[in-house]
Amino acid sequence: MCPLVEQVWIEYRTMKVYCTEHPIFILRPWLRAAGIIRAGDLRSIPSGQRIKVAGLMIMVHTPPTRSGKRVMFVTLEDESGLMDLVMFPCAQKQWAKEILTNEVLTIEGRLKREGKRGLSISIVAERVLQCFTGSFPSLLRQIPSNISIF
Amino acid sequence: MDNFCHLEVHSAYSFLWGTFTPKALVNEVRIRGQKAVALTDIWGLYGAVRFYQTAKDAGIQPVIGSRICLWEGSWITLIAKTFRGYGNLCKIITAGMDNKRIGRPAALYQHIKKWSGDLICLTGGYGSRPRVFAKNGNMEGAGISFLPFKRIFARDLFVVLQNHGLPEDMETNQILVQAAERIKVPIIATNQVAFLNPDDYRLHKTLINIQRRHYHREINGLPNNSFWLTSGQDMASRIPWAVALENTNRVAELCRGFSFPVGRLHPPKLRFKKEKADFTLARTALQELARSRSPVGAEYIRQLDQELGVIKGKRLSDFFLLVREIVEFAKSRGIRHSLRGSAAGSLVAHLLYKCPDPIEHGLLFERFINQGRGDMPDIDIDFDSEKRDEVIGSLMDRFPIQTAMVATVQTFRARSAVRLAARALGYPLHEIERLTKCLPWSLRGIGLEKAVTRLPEMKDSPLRHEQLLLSLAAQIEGLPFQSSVHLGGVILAPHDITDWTPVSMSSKRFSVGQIDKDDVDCLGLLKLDILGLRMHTALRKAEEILKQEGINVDLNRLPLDDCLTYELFQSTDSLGIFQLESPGQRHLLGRLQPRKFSDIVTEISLFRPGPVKGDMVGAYLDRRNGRQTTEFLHPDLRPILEETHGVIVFQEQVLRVVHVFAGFPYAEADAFRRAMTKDRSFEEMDGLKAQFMDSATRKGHRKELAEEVFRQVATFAAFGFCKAHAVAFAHITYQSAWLKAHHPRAFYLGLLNAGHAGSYPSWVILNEARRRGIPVHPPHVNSSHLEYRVKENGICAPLVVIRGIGPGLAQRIVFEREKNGAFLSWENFFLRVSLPANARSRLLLSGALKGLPDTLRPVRYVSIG
Repeated sequence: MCPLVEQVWIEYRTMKVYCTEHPIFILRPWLRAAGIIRAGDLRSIPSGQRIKVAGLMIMVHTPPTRSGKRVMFVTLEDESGLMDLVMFPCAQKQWAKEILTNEVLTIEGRLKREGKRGLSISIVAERVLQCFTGSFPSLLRQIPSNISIF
Repeated sequence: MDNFCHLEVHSAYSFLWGTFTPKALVNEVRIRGQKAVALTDIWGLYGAVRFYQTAKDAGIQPVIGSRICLWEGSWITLIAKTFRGYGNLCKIITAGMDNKRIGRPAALYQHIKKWSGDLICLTGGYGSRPRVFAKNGNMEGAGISFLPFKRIFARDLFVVLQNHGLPEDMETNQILVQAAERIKVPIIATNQVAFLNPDDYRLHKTLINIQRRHYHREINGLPNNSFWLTSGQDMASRIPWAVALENTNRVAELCRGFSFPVGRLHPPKLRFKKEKADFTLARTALQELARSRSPVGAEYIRQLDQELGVIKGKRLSDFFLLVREIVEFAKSRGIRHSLRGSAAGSLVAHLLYKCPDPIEHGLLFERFINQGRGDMPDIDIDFDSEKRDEVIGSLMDRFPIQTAMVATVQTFRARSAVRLAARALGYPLHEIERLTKCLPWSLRGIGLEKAVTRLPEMKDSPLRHEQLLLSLAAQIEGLPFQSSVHLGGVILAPHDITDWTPVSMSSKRFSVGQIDKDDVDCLGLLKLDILGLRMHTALRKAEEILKQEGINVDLNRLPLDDCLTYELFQSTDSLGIFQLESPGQRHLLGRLQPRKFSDIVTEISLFRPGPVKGDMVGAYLDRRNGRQTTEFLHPDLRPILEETHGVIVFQEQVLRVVHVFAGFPYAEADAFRRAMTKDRSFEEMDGLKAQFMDSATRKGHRKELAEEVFRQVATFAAFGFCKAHAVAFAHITYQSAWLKAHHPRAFYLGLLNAGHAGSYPSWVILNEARRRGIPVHPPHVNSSHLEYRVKENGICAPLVVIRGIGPGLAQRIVFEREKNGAFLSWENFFLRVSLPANARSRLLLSGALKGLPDTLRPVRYVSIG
């Protein structure tokens, strides 16, 4: 392991915060190879495009809605920023458990940009990519040997 | 009609004992045709006010009492004949709870003697000393043990007969009857009700097992399922002494004079004389007005005069002065504070407490106080949460007899109900974890059993197969299980707080009552909300950091037009900013793109469940962004609704529309708004509409126009947000955003050191700091402190971020370093600071000793789990 990866791994195992780098940064070469984009890149992608994003789960919120149906608002974070996702009941039927029980989530969905400058960005989540979803250590173990992580 | 009523009844407010709420009790009593019922919870009156209200509404006579334990371990039940008797009961409970000599709550003989007035005593039931004598066949002993009570209560003493089907019950009752006859004390039949139906005995046993297995208490439950809300007929078969049953109604009759003084206000008697208070308030407000602006505008004079008149008329001057004293105390200690709620709409409040200027922001005093409101006005103040206790302490020291904190009764939520019921049933902890893995804490009104089958994340949950557990958890969900202290509510009683509620000491040594905020409102008592706001703590800490760096910032005097701050809002980069950091608010920031202070006020008001549900957000944004034209139904409405593009966003706008368009006085307009805010029936709605239409047409408006205005008011009235509250919050929002825009490092440090100041965990805040180019240094024994600190233009993490290093251990390391200098090597560190082996390995592994010479060869990396 290179020193950076080792340091992030140590921080993950021993601390409540990440001082050196975000854990997703370590997984990035593998995620990039799978076409999974960063939060920071969302501002350059047009509304309506299908995208795949991955991040550490920060919070799930299910506020009351006008229709009375449960909508899940999920916030993920990768090394470049926060991502806000919306999961409607049809997608929840299949993926709610994955959303609520995993530390790292990779989600495919459609980008939605609103507002005059398009800065109001959310992702309508359609499915969870299970091969890139789980705990950080389990994903670290899964990285194929042909992908170099620094 | 049943010729019997239950006088010993223990509801769920006898925490983890009774299995029903007062509402369920009253409902069941009504069904059984009994005309009165008592609530005599164990050592408490937590449910008394709501029970009283529910019973009165149902036409049942409420009888209030409590079961208490005496110094020698014998239990009696005391029942209040009048409100004075209730006060005496409160005092006995207060003294008993405070009893330190025995090590458990116990009422002493002198307590009972001192406060026996207007109380009825029932003794001889299960757990009482006379019954133990009687059970052993000792009639003499039973008779003697009644004598002290006979001396105190005379004709208000009753000997209790109970029959729960135990072999000795009939014989014991015989002896008790003979003893009662000998000392001439009437007998009475009770059943110590702990559940409404025999089937609920299982639930009672579950609650007892929660006490045993979760709280590790040594406690025995009831022996069988006979302690239920029996009918008079059933009681007659158990207690074959007709007079004992008849006497239950006699006791109820004796208590007919009891009532809570609801429906009127009971303001506290404060130090200020009324005339003096009115004069002092007016003088202080005028002095502040003259000091704050020169020249003083006529609108300020008019507004102040009107407000002082209303305050004087409602005899609230001393209340305003009291709050002024609290605020002045906070100022003298440098404690950050701010007003919240409708009080911020008052010019007097602005002058006395330095909250936002209501005239500048177009706020409305009548939303706060008007002649039509019968309830006590709320002045809620937020203080720096780390220093809030100082403020509460000073208030309690000032009024030691009159004050107590408001209680909060915690109820079982879905997840805790399942977890604790599983504990009671003996499930191992790992199994409980497995069963409740995806179960939400709260289910928002869907029943537990329904939720388990409907929620998609529960589709494969093993909990679905645990029918008994699910059924028990569903029954205990919503039941009260313990009392705690309200976040900041302080009751100020007219004279002695123990006339109104029993009081006990909290862990912070504040007295705490047994009434919650709804009870306080119902009783018309004054409640001051002295709340803690972590954002104040964060801002204060950020200011301190800047001061150390030689930058003096007064956040309360910032200009409200800073470009960098608005650019930050528009970028949606609002993590950590007060009120605007949630995903929904960030999303709205991107669409709304705030350009001025009033935009922040609107943003805060719009992102609420009400406006979102009422689709006000879409309507507002469409009009603001020009996708929809803004039309005003009448020229009178333009000045009121112009700032929000014709959409009614604020409650103040509802008041103004009703006042200006329909000609209602403000007091009536506010009553109208409140009536519309509540859940209304069609009849009530029709009544309100007729009132509005009548008034509007009398003002000369066309019927169709009046109908349309009413429709809009009715649509938005229920969802509108108090603008005064939003303005008060928007100032804190602006201050936090300004700090983030201009001094991000100090902002992040303030947030990190204020505890949970927002929605995000510390690691997310640190990640953002790093993304913004602020270096984050890992913890180190030679540079870390107990809090996040500045280090080499970056942030140094404290030692407590290392798992297994708590504040105590971190403190030992920092104290040793500060006392005897930096650590020189591993050996030097471990010699100077004695730590458990696990903490040593955590420190080594985390790199907290990095760079120190490794002179401790035998200690190597130790693998951790």
